[in-house]
Amino acid sequence: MNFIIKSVILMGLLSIIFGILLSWFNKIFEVKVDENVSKILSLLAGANCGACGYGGCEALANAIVKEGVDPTKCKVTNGENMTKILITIGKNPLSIQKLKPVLKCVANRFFEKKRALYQGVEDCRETVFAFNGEKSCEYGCIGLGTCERACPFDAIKMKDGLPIFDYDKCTGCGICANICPRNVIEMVNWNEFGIVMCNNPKKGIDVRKECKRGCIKCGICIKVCPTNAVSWSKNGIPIFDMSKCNLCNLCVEKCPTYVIKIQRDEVLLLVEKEPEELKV
Amino acid sequence: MLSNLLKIIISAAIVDNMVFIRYIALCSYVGVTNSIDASIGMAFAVIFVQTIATAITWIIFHLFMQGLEFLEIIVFIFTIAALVQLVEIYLKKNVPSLYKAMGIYLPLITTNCMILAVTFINIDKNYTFIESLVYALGTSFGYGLALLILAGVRERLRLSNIPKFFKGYPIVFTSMALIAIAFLGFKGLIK
Repeated sequence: MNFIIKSVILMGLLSIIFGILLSWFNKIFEVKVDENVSKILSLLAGANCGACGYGGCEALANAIVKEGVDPTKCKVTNGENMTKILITIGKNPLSIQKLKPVLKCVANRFFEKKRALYQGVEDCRETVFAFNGEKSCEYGCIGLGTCERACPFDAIKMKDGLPIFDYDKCTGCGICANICPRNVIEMVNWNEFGIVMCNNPKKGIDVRKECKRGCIKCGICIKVCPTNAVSWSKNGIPIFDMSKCNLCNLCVEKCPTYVIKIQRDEVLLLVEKEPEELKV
Repeated sequence: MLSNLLKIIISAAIVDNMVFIRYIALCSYVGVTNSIDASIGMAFAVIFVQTIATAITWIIFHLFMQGLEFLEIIVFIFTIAALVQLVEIYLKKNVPSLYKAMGIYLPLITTNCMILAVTFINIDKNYTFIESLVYALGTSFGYGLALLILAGVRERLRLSNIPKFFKGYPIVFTSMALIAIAFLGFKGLIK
């Protein structure tokens, strides 16, 4: 019986000592946290992706409260929580614009034209230094999946040599667009965008030589548009003014290489509640 | 005395490497070797916690636990968990930079099997206080070394052209096994 009493005493003493020590430490080494910081931290996405330029969500929450940094630097937080954060620090929540990535290239392995065979490090950024990749086109997607590996949310899958974006998982953080050495991923408005899915600024005949599906600068989309929403941009690729577009889809159908994509969702990004209801 | 300590530290770090020879702490080993930065943070946190935990558990065992050896597991786990908590609270207030550097690894280490194993081995081998501290340092250095090696290998692997069925964990385990075989070569370094 002796050892039972002994062990009870030992465990009891140890737990009492550590319990007292822990509560005492908690008191004397208490770190005062700003109320707003913890509130914003709980509203932020908590992915710690670092896309905002700060070391994790806690650092951004601190910076928002103490240095007045713009909370929309976090592209990951969803609309409702971002609205709450903006209200918490007293800013107008209607200033958010959420973006999503779109690939400006359609040359998968069926449409691309190759000029060499690349064997080596499976990384687009390395390939750029090695004779600028194996595809003839020096502006399109290289297709070695650097964006796939860079995506912290597992939203990109490579298929037939092109990245496919899964917009259910995508949070619009923009890491893929930043890491792409060809800048072929464009961040567009989440709900409405019109884009030519080709990045090659050369003349039509040269584009034809380098790729089976590229923008050949024929200008049909500009001529056919009834609302003048399409115009030439500086580098010769048509751009779309979505405020004028009426979704007639004529340009998409008439494009000889089918590289135009236009999309407008009726669901708006911001929840359509009154800001008063969202107050935390 | 000194040569004895040197023997202990070398055998703990290299010859009887915790990961490669004893197969202890494999879960956290595979978990944090994604990048070299993470593994360096983990290595230093382990060194820190391992040394403190060994010191405290040695004292508790030799002062209070005569005849109560069967309570080893409970008491040691309890002590290590409470200790890590105390250290974390202290660091958060007084050394915020260190707290930030160690970050999530400190609470993670509470459940690291290597910390517990080393405290047991110290008791089993009847080490003195100084010897057990040196042994703890040696094992945690060995663990850090193993972390760095595999992290370096994995950073290379990520960019290399691996067959599809080897992608992900299979190639990590294969390279771990190969490194372990290499470490077998140190057997017999110390008599």
